[in-house]
Amino acid sequence: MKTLSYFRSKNIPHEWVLRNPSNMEAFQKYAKLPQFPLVVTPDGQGIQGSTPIVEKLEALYLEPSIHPDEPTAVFASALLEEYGDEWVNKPMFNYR
Amino acid sequence: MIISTDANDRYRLLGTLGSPYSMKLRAIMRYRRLPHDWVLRTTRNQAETEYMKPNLLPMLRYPGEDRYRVDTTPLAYDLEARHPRQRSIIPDDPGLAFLCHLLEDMADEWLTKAMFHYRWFHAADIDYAAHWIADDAFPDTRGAERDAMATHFADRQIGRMPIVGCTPENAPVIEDSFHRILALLESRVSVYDFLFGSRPSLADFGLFGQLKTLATDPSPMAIMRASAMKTESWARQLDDASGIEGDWLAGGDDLPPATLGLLALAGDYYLPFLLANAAAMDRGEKTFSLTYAKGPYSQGTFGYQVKCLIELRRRFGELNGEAAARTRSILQKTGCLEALS
Repeated sequence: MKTLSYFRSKNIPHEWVLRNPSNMEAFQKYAKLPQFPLVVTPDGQGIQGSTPIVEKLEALYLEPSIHPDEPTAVFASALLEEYGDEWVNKPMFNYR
Repeated sequence: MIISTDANDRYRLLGTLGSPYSMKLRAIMRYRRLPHDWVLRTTRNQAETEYMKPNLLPMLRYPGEDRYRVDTTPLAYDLEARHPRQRSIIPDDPGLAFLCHLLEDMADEWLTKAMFHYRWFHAADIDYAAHWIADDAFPDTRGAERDAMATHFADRQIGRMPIVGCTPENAPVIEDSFHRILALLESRVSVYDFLFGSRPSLADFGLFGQLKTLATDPSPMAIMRASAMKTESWARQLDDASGIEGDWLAGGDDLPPATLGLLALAGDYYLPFLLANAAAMDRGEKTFSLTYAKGPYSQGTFGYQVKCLIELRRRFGELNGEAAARTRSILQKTGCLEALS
């Protein structure tokens, strides 16, 4: 959901595909790890993990940037992203 | 690579998340992979569309144009004409295309009564929906001011309930329709299973728009989670079907029981409603009533729904040859034929 929202907010053309047994083979062709999400680029590269995906795409699609201009804010934004990914996912998993 | 966000080179879709028709059109554009910007209509951008009459959501602005358009059904057909053969949502077979139109019409004009009824009937739903909608539409208010906006909006919507038929007297008929639609869809829908094949049609998107909002308001959400969870999952899946690739049923294929059941529901509920509305309009009456197996139903007479009936008959009348005969037989079996001939 995080990566999908990123693609939409940046207007990066994409197709959203639910992973299930019918596309397992295609998934395995591009994925190095059994992990979601997987982005397959138009030139056939697989990228996994929402943080590396966003890093890679930010370098390709500069505007609108998802990083604030001010360096302290850039750091705070990275810290809060990490907090979301690694700690807020605990309540998600706990409640589910 | 810089993707422009200001240039007028993409579709611009203004809507709200609580609006079933906004959800419907957004899902169509996503499925069809039509580049667009989805913009919540708020107090900050309201001026952009103040000239629009009627001022209804969603509104769509085409690339390179400066005016907005409304009404999702003609918009969906116009997008077909503008982008032919690009992930069309109209079945290839003309008979199926007609049945698809009929079911979309029922979703837009009849299932929407369930959406409106559940949203503004019980106190818990009113409270939830009023604040949800105020949160989206009035971002520059906080606290008591936002609460006041929510109350004002709820009062206005609740005041409209009798005109559109969402009254306590009509509730058994409206709720029965909702439960029957859920039971039918529950027997069919999945990531890859739709009403006219393994790809979604205009009818699927019409139902989706209503169900997406029904699956968010508390009471109908609870009903769906208790009795139709696959349908709730489907409403999430269809919100973004940009990765779905499928096929249409052929004209002579058996229709799924769910599709036939929905047509029978149109024969039981929707078409008698359209006929009674049109008859009242002919007599110049401001309201009309009819009696269903589940009880009485009455509401204000609507010109728009007379147009819906005329359009259904026009489309049915345009069928010819084998498709006409086959469709006539399906309509006969599902109790729809008399109203459409």
